[in-house]
Amino acid sequence: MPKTAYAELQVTSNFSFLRGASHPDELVTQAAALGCKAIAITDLNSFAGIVRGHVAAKEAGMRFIVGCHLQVREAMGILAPGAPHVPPPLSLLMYPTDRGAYGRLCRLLTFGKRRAAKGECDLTLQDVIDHHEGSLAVIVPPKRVPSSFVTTLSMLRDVFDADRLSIAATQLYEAGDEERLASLATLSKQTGIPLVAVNDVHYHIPDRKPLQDVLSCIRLRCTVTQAGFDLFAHAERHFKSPDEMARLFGEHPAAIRRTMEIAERAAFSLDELKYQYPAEVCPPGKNMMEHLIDRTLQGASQRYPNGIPSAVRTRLEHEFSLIGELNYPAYFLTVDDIVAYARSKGILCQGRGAAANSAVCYCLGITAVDPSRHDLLVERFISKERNEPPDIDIDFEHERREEVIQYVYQKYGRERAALTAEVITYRRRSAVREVGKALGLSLDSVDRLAKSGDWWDKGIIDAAKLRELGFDARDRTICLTVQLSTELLGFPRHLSQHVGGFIISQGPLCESVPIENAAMPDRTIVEWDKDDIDALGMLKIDVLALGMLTAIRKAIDLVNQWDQSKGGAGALQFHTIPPDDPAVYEMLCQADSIGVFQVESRAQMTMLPRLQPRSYYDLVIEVAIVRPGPIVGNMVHPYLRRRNYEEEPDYPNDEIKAVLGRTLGVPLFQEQAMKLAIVAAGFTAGEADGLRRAMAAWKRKGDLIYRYGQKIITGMRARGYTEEFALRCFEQIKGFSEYGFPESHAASFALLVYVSAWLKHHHPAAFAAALLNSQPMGFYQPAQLVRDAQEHGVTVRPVDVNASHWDCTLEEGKDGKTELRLGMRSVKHLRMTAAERIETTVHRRGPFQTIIQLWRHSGVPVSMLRSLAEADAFGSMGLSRQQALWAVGALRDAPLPMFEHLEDEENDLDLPRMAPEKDVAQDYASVGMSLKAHPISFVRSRLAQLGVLPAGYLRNATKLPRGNRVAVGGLVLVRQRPATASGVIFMTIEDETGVANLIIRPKIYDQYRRAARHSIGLVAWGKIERQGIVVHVLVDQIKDLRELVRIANDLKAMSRDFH
Amino acid sequence: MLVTTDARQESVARCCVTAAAAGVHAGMNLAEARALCPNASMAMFDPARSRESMELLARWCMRYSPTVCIDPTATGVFGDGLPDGVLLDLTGEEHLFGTEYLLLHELMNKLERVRMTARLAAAPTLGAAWALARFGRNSVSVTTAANLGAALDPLPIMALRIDSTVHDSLRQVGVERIAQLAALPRDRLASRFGDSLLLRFDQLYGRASEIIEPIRATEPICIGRGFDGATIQLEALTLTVQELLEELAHILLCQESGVRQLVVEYSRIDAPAVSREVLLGRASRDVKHLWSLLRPKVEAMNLGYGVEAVTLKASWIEVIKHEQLTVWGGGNPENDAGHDVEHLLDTLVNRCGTQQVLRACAVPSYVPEIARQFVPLHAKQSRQTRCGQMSLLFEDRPSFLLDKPEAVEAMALLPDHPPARIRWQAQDHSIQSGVGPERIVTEWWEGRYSTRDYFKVQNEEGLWLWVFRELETSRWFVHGLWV
Repeated sequence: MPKTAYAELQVTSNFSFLRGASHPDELVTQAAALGCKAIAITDLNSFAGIVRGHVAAKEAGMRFIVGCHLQVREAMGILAPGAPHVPPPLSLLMYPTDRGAYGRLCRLLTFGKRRAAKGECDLTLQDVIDHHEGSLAVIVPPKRVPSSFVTTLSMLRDVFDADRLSIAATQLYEAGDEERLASLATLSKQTGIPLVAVNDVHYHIPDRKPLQDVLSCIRLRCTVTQAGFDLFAHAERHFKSPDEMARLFGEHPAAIRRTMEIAERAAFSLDELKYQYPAEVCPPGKNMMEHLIDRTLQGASQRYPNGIPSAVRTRLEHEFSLIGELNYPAYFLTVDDIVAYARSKGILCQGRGAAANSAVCYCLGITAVDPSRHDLLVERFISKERNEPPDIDIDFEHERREEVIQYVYQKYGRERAALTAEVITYRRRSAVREVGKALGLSLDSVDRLAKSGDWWDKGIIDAAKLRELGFDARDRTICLTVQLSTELLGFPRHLSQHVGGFIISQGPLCESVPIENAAMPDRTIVEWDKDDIDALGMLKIDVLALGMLTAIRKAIDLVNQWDQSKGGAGALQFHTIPPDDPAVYEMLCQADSIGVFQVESRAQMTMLPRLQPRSYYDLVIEVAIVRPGPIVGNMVHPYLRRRNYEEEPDYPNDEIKAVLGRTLGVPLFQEQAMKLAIVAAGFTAGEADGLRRAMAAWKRKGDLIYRYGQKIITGMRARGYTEEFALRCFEQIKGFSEYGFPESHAASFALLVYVSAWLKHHHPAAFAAALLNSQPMGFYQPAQLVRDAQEHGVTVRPVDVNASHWDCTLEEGKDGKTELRLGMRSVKHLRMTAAERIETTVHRRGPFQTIIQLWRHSGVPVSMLRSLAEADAFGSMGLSRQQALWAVGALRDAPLPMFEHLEDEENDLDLPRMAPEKDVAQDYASVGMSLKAHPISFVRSRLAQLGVLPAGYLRNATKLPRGNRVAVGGLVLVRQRPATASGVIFMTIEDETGVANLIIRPKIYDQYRRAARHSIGLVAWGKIERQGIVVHVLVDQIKDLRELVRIANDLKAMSRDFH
Repeated sequence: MLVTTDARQESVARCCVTAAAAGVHAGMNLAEARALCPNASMAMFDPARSRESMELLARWCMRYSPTVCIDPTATGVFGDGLPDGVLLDLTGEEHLFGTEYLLLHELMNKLERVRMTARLAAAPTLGAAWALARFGRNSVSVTTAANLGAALDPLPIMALRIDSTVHDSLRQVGVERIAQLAALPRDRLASRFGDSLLLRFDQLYGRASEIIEPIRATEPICIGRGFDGATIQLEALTLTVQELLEELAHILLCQESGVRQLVVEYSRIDAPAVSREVLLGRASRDVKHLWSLLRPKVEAMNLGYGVEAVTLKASWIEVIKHEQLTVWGGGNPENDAGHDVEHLLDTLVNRCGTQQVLRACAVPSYVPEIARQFVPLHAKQSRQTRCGQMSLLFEDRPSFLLDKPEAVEAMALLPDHPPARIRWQAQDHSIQSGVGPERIVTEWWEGRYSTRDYFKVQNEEGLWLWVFRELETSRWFVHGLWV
C-alpha cells in the first residue's frame, strides 16, 4: 500500500465524448490498483458516466466521488481584462456533499442543456452561483495564470468562501510548471484559498495517449499531423500512484492533504438516490396495493364473466403477495394508467416482457395472453433475488404512439418524465472510418477498410484478407488504424434517444439526473441509459411502436363497419377473436402467411411447413426459432427432428428436463439459457443476469461472454455433466448473444401472429385494406399484398376519384362479396388534404363526369389532379390516363374566374397510341402496382422461347423434381443477405404466375454482380431444391432481364434490398 | 472514373466508355462503381477544369470557323449544368475543305488522334445539328434542308432541348418522337406545355431564329518592334525594350491591370528566338520597377548574328485594385515602404531563382525540429494548417535551434532534475542552474515514439543551453541555445 493518502479529483472519462480515452470502470479499477483512497469522475458538463463509475467502485471496494467539470460561458478574460490570447472559459470542478446539493447540480446541468442545442451545455457563472449550495468547488486555473486571476479568485471566494473552494494545481511536466505552481501558491496565500493537487486524468494508462490524440482529432475534425497544439504534448494525463503524486508535490504537501479533505467532505453517494414511484396513479387516501388489487379483480370479472377460475385465483394471490413484498404496485398501476389511456382513445396496445405475462397484467388488460389457457412463464415473472424492477414493454399502434408519449409528458410534466438515453457506441465500421480519417488515410482507403469486414474476425486481424483489399498489413498507418480502432470499439460516441423507454418519478426527475434535449423536437432524454437506470433501481416503461397493431386495429374497424352496414352488431374485438381456430393453423402450415405478423418473411415461410404449428405454443416457438440465435447455436434442426419424432429428446436429469422439457430438450429461449446456467452450472440469479447482459452486449463488449463461458463449463463439469454436454450448452448460450429471444416476448408476439392470421383467413379483404392503410410496415410492398389478396379471391378495384377515399375501403361487389377499393393514399405525390377534399366533394355532390367540374367544385390544386391522372384515377369518367393527363394539362392554378370560359374540350384528339406495357409501367410508377397486367406477361412469349418457365410451374413437384435444372425470370422483389447465412444471397423474383425463391452463393453473386445487384428484373438458371412444399432455385447463372427482352424503359426498380 | 465528394458520400461524376460498359454511370456511389469496375483508375472531378477544357476545345475549333460557341443549353447529359458540346457556324466555310462532310471528317480525325470521343452533325439549323449530333444514328452526319424533316421525325423529343418536366409530361401523354409532336395541334400544345416548347420546335426547322454568342479571343498583351535590319547594338535594343515597356504600361493603365509575368523575346537571324521572363510577387505596371527586373536579363541575352525584332509579352495579367492615396504617405502607394520590400524580393527572386528565396513558416507542433519549415517565397500557400491555442511562450524556446540534436555526455544526479555537467563539442560545461523539465513526446504516428525531458540550463559563463534527456535511452542531447 502506498504511504500517501491521495484521492484523484479531476478525471475525464470517455463520457466526456471524444475527450477522455478510458471507460469509467477502467479508470476506477486502475485507481484502485494504484492505491488511491477515492476517485471522482468529473466529465465535462455531464453526469453521464457516474453510474458506471459508481458500480465499478463498489466492485473494487473504493470510495467514489460524484462530480462534474463545469465550463461556463464567461471566459476567464471577462473577469480578468487585458489578458493575452483568447482566454479559455472558466472551469470549475464541483462535488456535491449531500443529496440536496446533488439535486441542485442536476438541475443546473438540466438548465444548461435544455437551453443549448443537443449535446451541448450553455451555462453562465450566475447559473453556477445560483446552484452552488452544498457543493465543493475546485477552480481549474488557465495554463498561463493572468495577473488579474486574483480578482476571479476573490470573486469566487465571496461565493463559496475559502472553506469550500480550492485551486487545482498540476505537475504535468509542462513548460513553466515551476513558475505556475509558485504563482498559484502565492495566489493561494493571498486569497486564503487552499491548493489541491490533481493530475487532470484523461486515460487510465499512458498507452492510451495515441487513442486520446485520435479522439481529439475526431472531435476537431482534423488529422493528427494537423492537430498541432490541440493535442497534449505528452502522455502524462494518466493515473499516478499516490506516492508519485506526493513526490511531485514535494514542496506543497498540503495540496495532497487537501485531496483527502475534499474526498471526505464530498460524501454524496448514488446509493442515496431513493427512487420514488409516482403517486397519482392511486386515488388519494387509498393504499397502492389495495388499489391494484381492486383494479385487478375488477378487470378479472370482465375477463372471466363466469367467475374467476380457481387456478387463476391462486396465481393472482401468489402474484399479489410477490408484488406487495417487493413493493411494485405503483409500477403496475403506472403501466395500467398508460394502457387505460390508450384504450380510452381506441389505441390498440399490448404488453410484453416477463412481468407482462402475469395474471395481473392479463386482468388489467395490459396483455391478452391468457395465463389460464397457456400455462407457462411463471418462474421469471419477477425475480425476487435480483431486486430489480419488473420489465414490461408496451407496443402501441405505430401511427398513434406519439399520442401516448405526449399523454405521459402531459400527465407527469417534463420535470418528472423523460426518455432514457441510448449510448451510441463505436462499432467496427464507424471506428475504422473515424480513426482512419484522423490518421490521414485517404477517404478511398478508409472506405475500403471500413466497408469490408472480412479482415477483422473477433478482433484478430487477417493479413491475407487485408492484402486482398490492397493494403499492406505491415504499413504503419494501417497497423495503427487497425490497432486504435480496436481500442475504440465500444467507446461512447454520443447520447441518443432510446426507442421508447420512459422514466417517470414522483419528485422532479431533473434533481436525480440531468435532462437534455433529444434530436427530435419535443423530446427530452435523461443522461443515463437503461443499464444505468437498472443499476439504480429506477422505474422504466418502454412505450414502443408496432405497425402490426395499427393494421390489426384498422382491420377490426373495417370488419365492424362492414358488419354494421349490413345490419350486424359489429362487435369484433381484439380480445374476443376466437382462439385455436384449426383453419387458421392450417393456413399457416401451408406457408400462406403474406401480411401475417412476424411469420411473413421468407425464412419464416420456409419454417412454417416444417414446424407445422397447430397450437398457440407452436406459434411461440415459431416466432423464436427463426432468429439468428437458435440458427447460429444449431438448435433448429435438433428441435425439428425431435418434433417429428425422428429423435428422442435426451435429458441428463430431471432438473434439466424441467428447464428444457417444453422445447424438447433444446434451449430456444433466453430464459432457458439463464435457467440452465443456474440449474446446471450453479450460477446465482445475479450471475445469470450478468450472463444475460453479457449476451446482449456481446458485440459491444467482446470477450465478456467467454469469461462466463469458462464459468459455465467448469460449473457444469463440477456438477457431473459431461464436457461435451457442457460445451454444447455453452455454444447454444453463445448463440443467443447473436440475437436471443425471450419467451416472454415471443408469447406476446405469437398472439399477434394468431390474430393477424385469423383476420387474414376470415376477412382477407379487410385485412389487406388495413395493411395497405398502415404502410409503410411489414415485409412486403403494396403490390405483393394486393396480389396476395387477389389470390385469396378478393376483387381489387383501381383508384378512382369518384369512388376512392384516402384509405383503402371495402365495397360491395355485384355478387354481394366484399371487394377492395384502393385508396388514394397509394397515389404518388398526392397529399392527404387534397384526397379528402375530393372525397367529401364526391360524397356531397355525387360522381363527376368531367375533370373540370371536379376541379371547380373541389378546388384542389392542379398538381394534385395531375398526380391522380398519372395514377389513371379518372376511369369512371371514361378517360384513359393519356386523356386525363392531356385534359389536366390545360388547367392552371389561377383565380377561377379566369377559367370560367374554359369548356370541356371534346376528347376527339388522336393522341399517339400507348403500348399496354408502358401503361402498366406507368401504373407501377404512380401507384406501385398495376391491376391490368404484370410487366412480365408482355414478354412471356419471348421468355418461353428462351426456355424460361413461369414461376408458378415450380410448384409442380412431379414434373419438376428436385435437382432439375430450370430457368425462371421475373422482377426482383427482395434481395437479402442474412448475417447467419455466410454471404449467401436470398432473392425473390416475381412474374405474372407467382414468385420464385432464389439462393445465390457468394461466388455466383460476384460473378454476375451487375445483374444480381442492380437489375430490376432477371433471369436465373439453376437447380431445383425442394423441402416439402417449399421450393428454391439454387442459382448458377444470372442474366439481366433487360439484356434478354425488351421491357418498358419506364419500369423502375421496386425491390427492397438488404434490409 | 472521375469522382465527386459531398458531405455524405463519394460518387462517380464522369466515367469512361469502358467503365460505362461495366455498368457504371454518373451519380453512382463510388463503392458500388468500384465493385463493378475494380481496376478503374480514379481522380477527383474538377468542374472548373472541365469547363476550362471545354473552352480550350472551343478555341481550338476556331480553326474551322470564326464563330464558335460553347453550347449554352443547360441540359447537359449529366444533368449538372456543365456544357457538353461546342457549336460552330460553318456557313461559307465548307468550301475550304471541299464539302461539309469532308470538313467533319477532318475534324473527327483530328479529335480521334487526341483520343477524344465525339459525335458530329452538320444541319441547316442549330437545333437540328444539336439534335442529330446527340440522337442521330451516325456519329458523323450531314443533313441538308431537303431531308431535314425525314432526319428529325424519328428522333426522341429529348432532342428538342426541352427541360425534363416538359419532356416527362409529353411522354406521359404518349408523345415520344418528334413526328408525333408535329401531328398535334399547336394551340393546344401551347396551352399545355408553354411557348418554349413551340419555340424549340420551330428552331429545329428554322422557323424561329437563334443566335449564338461566339467566344472571343482574350489574348495576352503582346507588342513588338521590328528593325530595318538585324542589329547587335545593345543600346538600341535596351532602348527598344524600354519603349515597349512604356507602351505596355499605358495599355495596362487603360485596362486597370498590371503584370505578374513578363516575357521578352528576341527574333534572331539564323538562330532560334531567345526569350527571358520575370516573375512578380504582385501585379505592377511601374515601368521603373519592371525595367530594373528586366534589365539584367536583357543585358545577358545572346544577340547571335543580330536581332530582327523584339517582342514583349505580358503573359500573366491581373487587375490592380484601386487604392486610396494617402496625403501623408507620400502620395504614390507604389513607393511606400511595404512596396520597397516587395521590390527587393522581386529582385532577389529574379536574380537568384524561385527555389533560392525561402521564407520560414511556423508549423504547430511541440516537437522543436518540425515546428518550422522553409518554403519558396512565391510558392502558393500550402494547405491551411490549423493552429490550436498555443500554450508556449516566446521564452520557452531557444533563439537558436540546432538542425539536429547533438548527443552529449552528461552527469545527472536526480530524476526530473537538470544535469550537473555536460560535455558538448569537446568542452565541459558545468551547469549552474536549470529550469524544467518540459516533457515532449515525438510524433507516435510517424513511428517515432520517444519521450524527451527538456531543460533550460545555464553554464558557468552564463550561456543558456537547451538540453534534453531521452527517457527511453537515458541519453542526453543539446538542442539549442539562447544567444
